[in-house]
Amino acid sequence: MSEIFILCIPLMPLLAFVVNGLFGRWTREVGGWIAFGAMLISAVISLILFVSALLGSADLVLPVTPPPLWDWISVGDLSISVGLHFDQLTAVMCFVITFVGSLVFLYSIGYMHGDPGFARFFTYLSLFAFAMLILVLADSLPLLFVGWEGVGLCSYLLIGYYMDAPGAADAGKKAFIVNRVGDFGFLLAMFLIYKYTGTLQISEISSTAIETFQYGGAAITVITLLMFLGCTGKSAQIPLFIWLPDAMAGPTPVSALIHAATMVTAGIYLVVRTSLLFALAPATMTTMAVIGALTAFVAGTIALTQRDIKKVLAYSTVSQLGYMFLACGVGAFSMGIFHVMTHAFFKGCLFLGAGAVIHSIGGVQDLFQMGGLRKHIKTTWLTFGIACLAIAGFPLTAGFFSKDEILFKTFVDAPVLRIGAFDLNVNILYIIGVITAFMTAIYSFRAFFLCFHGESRLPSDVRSHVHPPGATMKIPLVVLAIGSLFIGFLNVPHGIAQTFGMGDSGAVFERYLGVVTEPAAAVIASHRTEHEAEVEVASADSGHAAAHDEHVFEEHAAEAPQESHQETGDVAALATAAAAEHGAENGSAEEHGSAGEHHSVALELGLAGFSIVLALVGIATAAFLFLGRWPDASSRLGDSPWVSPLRQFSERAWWWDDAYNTVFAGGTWMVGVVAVWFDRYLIDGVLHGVARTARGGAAIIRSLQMGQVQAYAMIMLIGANILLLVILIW
Amino acid sequence: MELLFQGNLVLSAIIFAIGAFGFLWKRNAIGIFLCIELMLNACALAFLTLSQAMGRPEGVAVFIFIISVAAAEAGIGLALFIKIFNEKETIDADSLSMLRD
Amino acid sequence: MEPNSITLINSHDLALVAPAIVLGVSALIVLLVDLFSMKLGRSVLPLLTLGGLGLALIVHVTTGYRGAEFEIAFDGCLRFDRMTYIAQIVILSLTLFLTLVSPLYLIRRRIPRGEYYVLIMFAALAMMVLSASNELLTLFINLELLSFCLYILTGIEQGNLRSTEAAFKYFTIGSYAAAFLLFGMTMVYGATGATHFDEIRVILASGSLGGALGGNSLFLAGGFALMLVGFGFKLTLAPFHMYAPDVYAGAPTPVAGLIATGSKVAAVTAFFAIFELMIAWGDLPAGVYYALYGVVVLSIIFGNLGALVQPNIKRLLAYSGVSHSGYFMIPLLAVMTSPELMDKAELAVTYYLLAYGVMTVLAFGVATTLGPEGERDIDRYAGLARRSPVLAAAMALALLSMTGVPITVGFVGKFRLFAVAVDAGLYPLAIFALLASVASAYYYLRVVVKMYMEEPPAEAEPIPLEGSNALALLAGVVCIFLFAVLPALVV
Repeated sequence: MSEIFILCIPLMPLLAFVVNGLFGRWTREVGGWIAFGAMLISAVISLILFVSALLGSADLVLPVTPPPLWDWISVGDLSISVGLHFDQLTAVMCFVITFVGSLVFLYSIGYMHGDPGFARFFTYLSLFAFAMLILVLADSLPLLFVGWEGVGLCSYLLIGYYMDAPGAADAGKKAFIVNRVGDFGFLLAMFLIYKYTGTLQISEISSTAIETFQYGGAAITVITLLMFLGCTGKSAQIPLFIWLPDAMAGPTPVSALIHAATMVTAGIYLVVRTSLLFALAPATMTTMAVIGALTAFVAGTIALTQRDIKKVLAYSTVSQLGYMFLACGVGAFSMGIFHVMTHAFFKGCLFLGAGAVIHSIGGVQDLFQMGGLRKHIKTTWLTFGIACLAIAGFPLTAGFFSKDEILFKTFVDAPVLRIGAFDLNVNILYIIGVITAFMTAIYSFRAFFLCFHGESRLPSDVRSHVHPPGATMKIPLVVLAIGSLFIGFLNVPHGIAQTFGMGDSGAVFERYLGVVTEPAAAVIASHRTEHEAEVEVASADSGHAAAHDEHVFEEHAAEAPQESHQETGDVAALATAAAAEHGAENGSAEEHGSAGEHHSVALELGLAGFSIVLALVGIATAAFLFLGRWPDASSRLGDSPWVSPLRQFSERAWWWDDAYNTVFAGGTWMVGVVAVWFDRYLIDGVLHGVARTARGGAAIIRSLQMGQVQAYAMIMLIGANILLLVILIW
Repeated sequence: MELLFQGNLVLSAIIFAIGAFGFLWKRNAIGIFLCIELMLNACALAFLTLSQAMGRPEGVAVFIFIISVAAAEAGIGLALFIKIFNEKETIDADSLSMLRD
Repeated sequence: MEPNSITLINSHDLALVAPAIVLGVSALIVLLVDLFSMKLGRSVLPLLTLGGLGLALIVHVTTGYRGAEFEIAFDGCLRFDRMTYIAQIVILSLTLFLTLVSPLYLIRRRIPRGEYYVLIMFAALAMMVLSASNELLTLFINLELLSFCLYILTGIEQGNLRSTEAAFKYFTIGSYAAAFLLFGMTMVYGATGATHFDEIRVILASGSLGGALGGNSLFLAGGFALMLVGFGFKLTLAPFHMYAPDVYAGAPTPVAGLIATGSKVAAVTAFFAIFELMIAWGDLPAGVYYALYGVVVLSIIFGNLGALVQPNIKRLLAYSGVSHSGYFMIPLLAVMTSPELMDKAELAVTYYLLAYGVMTVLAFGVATTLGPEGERDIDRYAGLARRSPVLAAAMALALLSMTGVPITVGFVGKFRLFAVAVDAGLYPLAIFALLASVASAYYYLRVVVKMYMEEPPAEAEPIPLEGSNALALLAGVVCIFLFAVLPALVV
């Protein structure tokens, strides 16, 4: 029964796409409502399924695998059919996509009102929704790739939606090309996976992964690195993030939906979906965590000095995506997805709010030309503010719960970085994460204050025409803001839950998704146990116990005595033993031993408190620099001799684009010059020769057609004779 | 009987060959068509002879069918030739070569 | 002689040929209606024809052969297997398509409508039974019936010298080839002593030929060779294809479409049955393989070179058909090298029957709809995309499918054909065919480019699109994609 509903989820947007695509000329405005209606149906279904799954309802037994729809490719030994797979992870993603999606659709009805390409817009949006849903519902890598490419295509189409804007088409092209580089990695990874496991069905890959791949081996590391390359393209991480800021040329609802809430999270989804593979490749996990942290940091610095409100949000998105990869890199896969969910709400709210602002002041996007809008567009001010609080990590907002948990997990589980002969025991990733959180608070509230507070810097003709957004735009803002406030409570971390007397019922989300991430977590835990046991013995010998190790040693106090004598023992036995042990507990090794956690409630509270302090300080700093006293304080700071070069560095996005242009574009141009010479003189020469021969042959053939019947008959007779000769003699 | 059998077959082969080559030489459309008839009848003769020699019943039935088909073909052909004559005042095969490359 | 105890007419056999019977009865009805009422006939005739064809199709699908290996009817004269089943569906659909696009064309040209529709239906009837033939005489009669209908249809246009000339050429060379076919059959009969294919197969497999000429197996080989000549004509294989460009160019366009698609589909099916006989003969001379190989290569070369600089669209399609016939025969060559590929080859050929039929008939359908402009020079197609986007799109899709662009039925079909060759180890042939396919893009895309990138001629008017034409073209376009994405619907 639920299978039909699951099939409906992608089907609704597909129908909307067909209707709007074929009949857009006649449906016009209604087309938007049709698209919204379709998404709404999908959203309702997804919501019901998600809540049922969350509550562990008996009516919904996950995973649900509807029977394959049809046989797609059948070549030799490879047989792929088109089929869907619905489990806890899918439920979350579907919920996020359709819920936030339908809100954006509703918003777009108001935002795009009067635009000549209204029907085209909704056609592309519906197609995008369909592709994204296929991506998360796919049960095989090729089908996932179809969705992957589909969202890339729609992104290109929608970024370049404004056909008259000069930069829009270029931005679309840039997005597509940069994505292509990443897709290349994904494809290679797929080929390799097929070569090693002989299958491309995700469930089969997961079940055979442990036997096929050696932990930490070259094969799995290369595969996962290639997949991660694809993720850096799709999810805008270093080194392929440069397309996302340019993508802001598209309409704001597009930025909200595709470049904040859904498409860019496809990379995270892929990682979590194949988390077992990543867990088997610790080198990739470390790389992922490092890149995630670095990207978060770099993007955060850039966001500090951007003038365009959408660019601030774009870099903010890149930064938050970095957090998600950081989470995955340290093994906290469910937290990565949880942050996807919370981020969708507050970033979506921020983008839609920015859109409302831009809409109300007739297209101005420069923060330095705004100000004092609080009086005019109250609802937007309120929702934008709430979302800013969420992203900054203000206590009890959604952002606080998700980001804070990521930082906590980083602190606790971060891999020990080996640099040269030194083990970096200082948790550098945590430090980077914390600095970025501080910056997040600053740039978010910088935007907030510059836009809504202070004196109005609007051009005079605009000042009198500020019109607040309509209902279709306000409702999504409000809903998303409410979500940003409350959805975080789905996963109240242990320590805080303990403190406030909620017992073990806090981490609902983590437990819920734990079913999906358990295999990966088991692998990680078992190898960490082994590693830590080694370290524990070593440090006991040498007498050096770093705080980090000591903490972990505490956590594993229960297990270490039994397992220390097994340090040289069989890896497989260890893994199974550890897995069994962890499996005996709540089924999620991430929270292995509430026994272990008990020791660190204090740590958790301490780190949480630290985050709160940072957030508040950040908000205060922003207020100081940008509220009221602007332009004095911040501009003086910005122009001062030792801050100014930093500011330039940030404004120019670390000169990343320029570097790419010189190296790749310039290099390619040089190659092109050589190729042109080669092509013109050598290849064209051969080509023309062949063409001349073909023409000659054609002339001969055609000359045979003389138009006389008997000539034809003669040729037939000759042909018959030759045939007879050949058959009788040969 | 052996001689008759072989002789018939050789005869039919010769008639077929005459028809096949004659087809190429004749200018008049009706002449061309006659050659086709020659070929078909040669086949019919051969068929009858063979089936007679093998003692099988198909020969006569096939012969009748071949004759009928040839007759129908004649009908169509002549109607076509009349149409050609009506339009071009001639049924010379060489004059019908407008369609060419 | 005791009376024959075989019941000549029983319900089982009737059910199998029911579609053909429906066609025959419908044709007679149309004939009568046309005879007795002048005015009523005008609009009713196409509808009656469509009704007859549609009914035949429904009957065929509901009562035709279902999944069994094969079924025999009429004492072994007819055989219905999977290829026949699909071929008959394709034939009926193609004829339906052409009937849908004909009416406007008929009015523009001076073509007597009653006779036209009657002949179309008799031709369809002949094609249906031809594709099920299991016996030499049945094959010959149906082939001739089909040919007669087509001869008349080719020359049916009044006052058009080209049409008459095309009919003349078709008739004379067609009869010439039919005579060769008949002589070949005679030799086969003489060598084996049987006309039913099942009997022949048994005799050939047993190794001792029983006929009067049987002692000398040269006669059998010669018989097959001559039959190949006859079929080569019908299938426009080189060097027996020379009539095709002239005939396609002169005949009324929907008729040319029928010749290019329907009769070829039926002929391929019939030839495949003959081919199975050849395979069953253990001592088949190696020369047959080389001869067929030469014919295939020649067809591909002639077909592609002839179309290369062709300015006339119908001649271009004729040459294209020649090369496609070459591709059709590739799996047969593969089977001759590796007999175990028979099943795969049959599937590939069956699929390509549908693929080839769909794309060729779509191209002819567009040409028909365009009327006088669409029949001659390709230059008249310039800027078609602006004048009628639907027609241009349909034509473009048909041509792209013929080239073998992915996600079209042409691509999947060619892929399967070449795949059989690769499986058999015939790498040079497969590569050659593939290269030819790629090269063919030149002349197909030439038309597409003209349609989309050039300006329409100054005096060009917008083109009206009749409902029935639009329906047929739309169905064709859908099929081009549908069967590419879901090949399992066919085989």
